[in-house]
Amino acid sequence: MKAVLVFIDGIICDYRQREHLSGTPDYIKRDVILKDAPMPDSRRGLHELAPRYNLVYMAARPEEARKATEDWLAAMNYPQGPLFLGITPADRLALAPALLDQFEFEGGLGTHWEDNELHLELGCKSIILKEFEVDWEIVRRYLLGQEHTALHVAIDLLTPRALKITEPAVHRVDAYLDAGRLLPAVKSLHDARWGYLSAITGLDDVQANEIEVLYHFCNRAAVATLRVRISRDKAAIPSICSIKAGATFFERELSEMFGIEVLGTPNTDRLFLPDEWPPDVHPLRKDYIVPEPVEN
Amino acid sequence: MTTLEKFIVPIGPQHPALKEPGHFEFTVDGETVTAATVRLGYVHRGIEKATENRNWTQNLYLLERICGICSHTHALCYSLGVEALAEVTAPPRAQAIRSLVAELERVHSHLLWLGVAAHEAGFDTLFMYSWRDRETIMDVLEGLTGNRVNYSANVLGGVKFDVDDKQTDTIRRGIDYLEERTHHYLSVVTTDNTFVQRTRGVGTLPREQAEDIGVIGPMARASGIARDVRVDAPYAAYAQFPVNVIVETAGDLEARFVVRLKELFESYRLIREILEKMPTGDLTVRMPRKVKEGETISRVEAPRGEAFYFIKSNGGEKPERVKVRTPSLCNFTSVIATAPGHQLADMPMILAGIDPCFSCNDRMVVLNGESLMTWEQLRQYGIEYYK
Repeated sequence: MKAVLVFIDGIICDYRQREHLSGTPDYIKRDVILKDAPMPDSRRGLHELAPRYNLVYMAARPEEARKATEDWLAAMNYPQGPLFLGITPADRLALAPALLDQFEFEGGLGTHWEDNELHLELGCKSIILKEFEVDWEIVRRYLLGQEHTALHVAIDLLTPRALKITEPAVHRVDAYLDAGRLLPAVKSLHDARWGYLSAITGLDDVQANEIEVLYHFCNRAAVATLRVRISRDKAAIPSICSIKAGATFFERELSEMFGIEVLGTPNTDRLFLPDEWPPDVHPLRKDYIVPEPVEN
Repeated sequence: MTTLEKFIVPIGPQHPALKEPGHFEFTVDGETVTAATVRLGYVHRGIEKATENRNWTQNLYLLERICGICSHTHALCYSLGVEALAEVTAPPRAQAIRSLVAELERVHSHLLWLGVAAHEAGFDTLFMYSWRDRETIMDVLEGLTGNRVNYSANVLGGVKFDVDDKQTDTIRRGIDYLEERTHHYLSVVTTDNTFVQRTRGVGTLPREQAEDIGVIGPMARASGIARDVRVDAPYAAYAQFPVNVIVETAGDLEARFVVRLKELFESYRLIREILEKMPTGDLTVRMPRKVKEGETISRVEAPRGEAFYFIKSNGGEKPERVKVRTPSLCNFTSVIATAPGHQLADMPMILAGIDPCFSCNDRMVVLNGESLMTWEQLRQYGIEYYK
């Protein structure tokens, strides 16, 4: 597994709260360092990289600050990884042989143009980011790029038919649709041979008096979810079985659990609930309370 | 459509080995099956609903009991999902141990299936030998985790136990033995007449159709689709220990046997590699009690195919929703698709071919609305037919 070098300060660590102490011994005191704030989105950004890459941390801090820095990383719940220290760019460059001994680098994240030389020495992509204003999309594009492509194809296919498109997490796109656009959206994915239908989820939103139905399509790492909101009263949604025959099981489950009429679905037999189960009781609706066990 | 010659396969709910018993209905015209439908639910336990009333940790114990054969898969899929929501990553050693147990589980599951499928074909000697050999991996799992079934390896944020040198030796010796036996099984399955007669060219699912239906796991890989979540979306330690996807192109029952047996070799290789290059370090990382609000999707490659979890948190101590889609549900469609056109006698093997999560002894069969057959009789019927 390849590695990514992550320069801490300005990318994941917001150390500005102690900037005024710079030049004094207090600047690197343990309890002062531990008060640094994690940069927004940085934790998520690194956790997205963690399944694919070994993370190697780098900081421009003296050895006396090593323990505090390591403890800060752990306390802030960043993925575990070794820490290398080099105060000046030259110091950091000198670490290259030791780094290359242990790791093969795919990329390096830094905030100073001087670190570009270190990345070049490591033979990896050099991703220089703006201190305190990190755009993690750039990191994703260059370090998780391959999987990103399939996702963008899905986004292009779904955008014309969707009310709204969001990317809630890496490799994921959510397309919010109204019920009338469901079949065209499914058809567009099907015709482009984009992925397979992996699951259909129901979400009961009592407050809004709606049930949201999610259709999850998977293509390698990418997951495209079509989301349709329908009223809880006389809940109905068109079947997608005419396009995806395998949806029948998922639609049967959705129907019996949430009380949604799936219009045109080929088989309306119960799938999981017993035959004697009352017809108008839908267990996954929030207002169905599981009865307490009866004591003798 | 007349239902005069309807032939029904209802499956009894009371059987110790049944995990997801199902009721299949095959419509026949003489000897040939013309249509099939399925009804499940005999052990439906309301688990998804139950998760909404238990905290994140309690749910780990609940969900790993969804299935006895692939319990680690469920626990792992759930743990990875909750960790993603909490923006936490388990340490490298824990991820490696998770992958190790997952591969050990795959081995026990495929060997179990081999025996069951052999039994369906009337090849009881193969059934007995494969299940005897499976004891090797069950002993390994018991030595490592304390249990033969429901290993309870995961905690949210890592794993519960470590692997020491003594266990490593035991595992290696077990794998060496099983590898030798697996070579033998692969040879038997591809050369023995009893088997080949019932599997070669039977239950063929062409690639186009497999893509269309959206089959997953070994079913897909036997039809030429290189689909494996460990490779497509690596999780736990699979990026560090990459998997070679096993693909066959014939798409018939024989291909499904070959894929699962070759996957065993790949699992043995992975297990050795993980043991050799096991990362050092902690076994767990701190998890918050309340999980950040959000939605996550978690996918892992169970022995039967992709297990899919959708988890929604509203920021509290209990999940808002846990949706579980087990792999077999996707593959039942392929039975419905491949059954028509085949002989009645092929039904036991076609069903076995998807590696469904249930066993066969209690099924009853009604033929022509008159005669009654137990599953055992249907199985015999198939064996006699092919003699």
